[in-house]
Amino acid sequence: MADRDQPRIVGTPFRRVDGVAKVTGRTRFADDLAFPRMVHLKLVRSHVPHANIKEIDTSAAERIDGVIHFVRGEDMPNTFGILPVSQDEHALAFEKVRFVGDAVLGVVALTEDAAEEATRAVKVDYEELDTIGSVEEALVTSTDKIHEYGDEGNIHKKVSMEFGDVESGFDDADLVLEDTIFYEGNTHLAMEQHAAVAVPEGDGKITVWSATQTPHYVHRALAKVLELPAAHIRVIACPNGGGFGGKSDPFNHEIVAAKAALQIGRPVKICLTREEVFYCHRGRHPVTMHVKTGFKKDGAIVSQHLKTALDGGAFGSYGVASTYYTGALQTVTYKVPRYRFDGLRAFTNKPPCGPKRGHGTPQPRFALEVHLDKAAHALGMDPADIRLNHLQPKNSVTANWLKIGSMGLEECLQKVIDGSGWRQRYGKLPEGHGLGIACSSYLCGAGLPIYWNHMPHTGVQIKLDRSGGVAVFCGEIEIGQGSDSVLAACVAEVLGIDLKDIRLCVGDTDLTPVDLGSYSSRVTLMMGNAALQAAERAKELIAEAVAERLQVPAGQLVFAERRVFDASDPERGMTFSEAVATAESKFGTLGTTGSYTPPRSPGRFRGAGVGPSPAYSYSACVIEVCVDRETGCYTVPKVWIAHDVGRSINPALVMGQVEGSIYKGLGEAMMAESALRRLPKKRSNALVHKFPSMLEYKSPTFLDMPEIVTYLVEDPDPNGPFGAKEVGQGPLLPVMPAVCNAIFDAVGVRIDQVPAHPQMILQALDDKARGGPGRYGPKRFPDVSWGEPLRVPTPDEGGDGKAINAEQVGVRGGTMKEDPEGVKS
Amino acid sequence: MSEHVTATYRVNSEGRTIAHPAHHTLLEVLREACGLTGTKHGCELGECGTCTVLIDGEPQLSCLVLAREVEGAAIDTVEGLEGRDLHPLQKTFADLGAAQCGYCTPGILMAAKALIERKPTPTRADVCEALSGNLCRCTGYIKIIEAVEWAAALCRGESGARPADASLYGVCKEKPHG
Amino acid sequence: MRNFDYYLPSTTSEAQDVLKKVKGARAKAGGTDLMGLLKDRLTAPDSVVSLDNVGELTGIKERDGGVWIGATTTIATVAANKTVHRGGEAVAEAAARTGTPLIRNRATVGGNLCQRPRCWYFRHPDYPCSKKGGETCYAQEGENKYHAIFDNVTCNIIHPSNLAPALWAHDAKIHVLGANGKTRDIGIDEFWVLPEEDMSKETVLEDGDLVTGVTYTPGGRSSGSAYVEVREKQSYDWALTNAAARIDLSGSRVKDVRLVISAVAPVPMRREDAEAVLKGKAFSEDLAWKAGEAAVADATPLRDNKYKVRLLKATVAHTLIAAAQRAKGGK
Repeated sequence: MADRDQPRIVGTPFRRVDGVAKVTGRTRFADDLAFPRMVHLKLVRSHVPHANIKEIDTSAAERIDGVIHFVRGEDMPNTFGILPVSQDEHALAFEKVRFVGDAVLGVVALTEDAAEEATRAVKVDYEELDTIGSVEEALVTSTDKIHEYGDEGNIHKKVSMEFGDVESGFDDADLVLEDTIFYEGNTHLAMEQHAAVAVPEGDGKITVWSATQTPHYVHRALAKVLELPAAHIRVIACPNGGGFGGKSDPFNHEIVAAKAALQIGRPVKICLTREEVFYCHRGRHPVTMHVKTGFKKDGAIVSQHLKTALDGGAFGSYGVASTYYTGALQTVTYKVPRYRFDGLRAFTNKPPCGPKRGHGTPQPRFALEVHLDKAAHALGMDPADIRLNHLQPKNSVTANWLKIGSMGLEECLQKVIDGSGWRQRYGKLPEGHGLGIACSSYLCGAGLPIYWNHMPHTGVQIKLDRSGGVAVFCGEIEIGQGSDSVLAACVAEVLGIDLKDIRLCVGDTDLTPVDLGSYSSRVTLMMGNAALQAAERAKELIAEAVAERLQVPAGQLVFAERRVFDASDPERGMTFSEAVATAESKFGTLGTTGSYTPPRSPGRFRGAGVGPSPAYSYSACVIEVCVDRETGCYTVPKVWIAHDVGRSINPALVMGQVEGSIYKGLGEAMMAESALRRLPKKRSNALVHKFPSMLEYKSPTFLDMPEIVTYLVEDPDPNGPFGAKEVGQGPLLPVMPAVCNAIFDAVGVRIDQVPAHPQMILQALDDKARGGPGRYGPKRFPDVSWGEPLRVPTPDEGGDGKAINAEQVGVRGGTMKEDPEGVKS
Repeated sequence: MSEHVTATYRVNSEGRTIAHPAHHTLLEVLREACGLTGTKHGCELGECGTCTVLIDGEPQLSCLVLAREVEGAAIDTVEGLEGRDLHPLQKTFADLGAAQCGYCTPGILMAAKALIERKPTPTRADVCEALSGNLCRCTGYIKIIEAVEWAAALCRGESGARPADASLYGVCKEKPHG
Repeated sequence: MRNFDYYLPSTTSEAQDVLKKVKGARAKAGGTDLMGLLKDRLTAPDSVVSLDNVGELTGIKERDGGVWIGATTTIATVAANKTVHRGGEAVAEAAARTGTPLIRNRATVGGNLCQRPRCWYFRHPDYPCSKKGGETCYAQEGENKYHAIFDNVTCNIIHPSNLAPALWAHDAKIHVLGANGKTRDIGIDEFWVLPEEDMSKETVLEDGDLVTGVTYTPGGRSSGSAYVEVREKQSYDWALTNAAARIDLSGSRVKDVRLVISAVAPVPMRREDAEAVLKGKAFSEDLAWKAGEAAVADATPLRDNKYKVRLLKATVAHTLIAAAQRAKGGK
């Protein structure tokens, strides 16, 4: 263990292991692959949002030179979906379409040009149905249901739970504050467009290369829809050209390519256009929120009630989990002794929403942090203090039964307060200039798997041989976050070898042990632990053999500098490859495995599966803005952020994740929105994107980035490898509320909505000038009858983690046989 | 209408004669006919910059250029950047983590190369301006800016210390590994 | 994108010949707009005539007191040109603010003036909007945050060219080679067509017309010009509002002024009412804001673009202040 105390690689900003491949153009993304006899697939997509398909006429398309095959929905009747409870997608719609962009037919041609030409020649006859365009419409529309399942009508999921007596908490409060807040949907906009290539093997098997964050789930979906044994399907995840959650679902184009390849016996490739990527979506849900909180005079929260309404789009995707996530993590930053959460997700005829960086939590985090800022002002407190004075303690259990381990938020807050000169500058900057503060927290991987099972969440295999080379196999996927580097670093650190001595084989369902995928910030912690276990086991084998050879106690051996040697006499030892050869002689062929399953969480109620994590990261952020009163235009010149990462495996990459999070957060705060617009009634009433493109969907450029001061706070978590926690998602969350809080400091108006556009500031300023409250934001939360909430006594109340009224509330939805996204009763 | 044209292209100083449909863009010819898949496509409409290549030393969007229009011109792609060693830009991008997912990287490298050849000592504003036609969705641009500045210093023959180690890696006491 | 026959002439007259002979042929300069239109199938010509090799259409020259810019000169060239910077500040600024550096390396001056509008209803294949020969302007009742606040009854597009107001502030002439082989000059004030006059196009150009260049009048010793635009992003974005102004001073008195606004109406607009506020008076910032007021006085904003009125007022004021500053010698 001497190595771990004094790591040589971990903690240093080393060159990422895939760095050279990426700067030389050698990294092979899915669309870079080509195979002999390969043909091209394009999908015909619906131009209407909600309709029954009457007829698909391919006669004109068949006449186009080079067109060789059509794939039809009827050929793939089985449904799929990422969650076992939401198996609601067909590879190709053959009965009805549910949004503009829904795929109805696959066209295969010798060239991409011909395939595209043919998609334009296909005629689809639709019988149009009423379009449901918003949560409000979904709540009142009983006919023309988008799906035949769900909690009621067009409500996909409705949850209600209460931890402690929230109403009595409001009675005890000195201040009760209510806010209605809206967070517009947005999308991942990874630079790489989704692509997949399916290659049939001679023996009836098939290999699918894809730009996916979750090859394991693609594997399961392919087996189900193609009706093949999973063992006959191999999925290889190519390095993703950006994921951010947008490549976490199994997608129809992957399945249709595989089906076509099997049907015609040739490799089939598909690369989506940018427009189609907008249709795949799975982006951030638009969420309307209502938050009501009771505060004591000192800013302590006594009771909180949060309601969320998610506009889900046309399919389930991760939506059930997303819904729970809008309520799950409100309790992990500040003490919330009594908490009620009501959430619902509606089906609408729009591209399906899903998980985007922060999955379901940035929206309520925005609401909470803006709400706290208002509370601080109402109570005459410094917004930094209302946070600092009431932090959830480390090693505690929250009211909703989440177990908190390490917790570095206090230090994070201190860093940004000091760094930004908060105490001297907040509230005192010249007119038009302002500071805003906000905090956040995020998971280091979900505590439960997406489908109910008792198997590990990740596994690592190590193969070593006399060459001294170490091959490491893991189902993880490099999406840019640096997971390959974490994997290699963990193994190299333990075995005392160089990063370049390691060959990685990742994301291949035939060759690598299952890893659930690159989502929910799970990889560093979970894969890292599995890698450490496998490496420690390899080290033990080698140490035992070397100890015997050198006649030194195994515990006295050191693995470092590509050598294995006696700690008391460093000259006495051998090279790493000799050491492996020694072990190979003693034990035969060498291989070890490691795996990781998160600890069991204390919650025992239905819904307790969403929120638990082995550890939580923490961030605090101060943002400075300059607002022009005349135009409402504003800029962000500087950001201070501190992130508690537990321990940096590679600080260079950690910094990069923090900076990337700030960038994404600023985009969401200032400009990014996947707003869909309704066509006039006579034009099918369709909900369409503004012409879906990277121009219309705004994202910050080089010229829009502020100066960023980053502080990495290291509060090692006992559950993390070397103490490491996540960094990919948490630092994004405080950005949006910090911007809006800073706008308030600058010009005294509240923008209770993101993105915060200049015209909203102008409207709020006008409102204030007329004597109004000076606010821009949603007016009301939709009327929903939530019914009896699931009541769970809190740990403080002596609860045991179980609901006391589970029987009365019953199981809503009634369709859940197995337990799904881990929403365990 | 599926007439092919035949043209000779000079890519990374290698001549190639290629027959392709008249409407194919330089990007299509590079990726599909030349097998140079290092140049990426992200939108094919000039909205992202991933397809940036140098045409006679000037960064251009290969998705908006009809291949025929650059017959005879010197076309440089990321594959030609590396000589016996990595180009300084490649080294600094790799070392600083300026390439995360790496998809925008080839385009940004080419735009950055044009900049530091035109302006060996660029200011930070110059770097941001020169790269403002390239989107990156991973890095928040900061590491890219630092990598370009560092590479420019290396190209000028300066010893080129890694930028701002002390302040950047506040928690990291040690010098870069390897 | 549909395949097409491709022509690569090397002289203007050769280009003209092809355009005349081949029905439906489209001239292509940098192609940054045309390639998008082709890929999105908003146009699908059977033939494309590239002007890439027509050397005589490229260059910047001082000529008869004016500055001639060839039609296929790239925007980047204009932005970096010393002659343009000297006396044509607004033109240089407008060029430097166009698109992105990569776009500017390809896009041309002629193309910038002739590009099609960015209205997302017009660009969206599913909207048979009036601009595309349909019956409705969807922006009228629809999403009109980025649309016109003037002349917005029939069609609510805004003109996307930022060179247009700058060149107009410098009294530019557009040189056109007609299908009949004759050249003619069109004053930039007469170059534009409102939707009411002809919905199918934004300029007076006829089929077979080829823009060969533009000549603008540079400012003299006590003259200054400026171009200012406001947008949501600092690159890869279109102006929400923009304005270009040229001011001739006599001492501190405004001898002459030209104010042109764009991105707020289907075509660029000269604002003579606002010019009148300044003319003959001693320039002051206060006066510039009053001119801004006058420039927006008859605006008729739609549901979502009232903010553009405020924005335009500020844009005009800032433009005039910058131009006057330069006229005073603070170039």
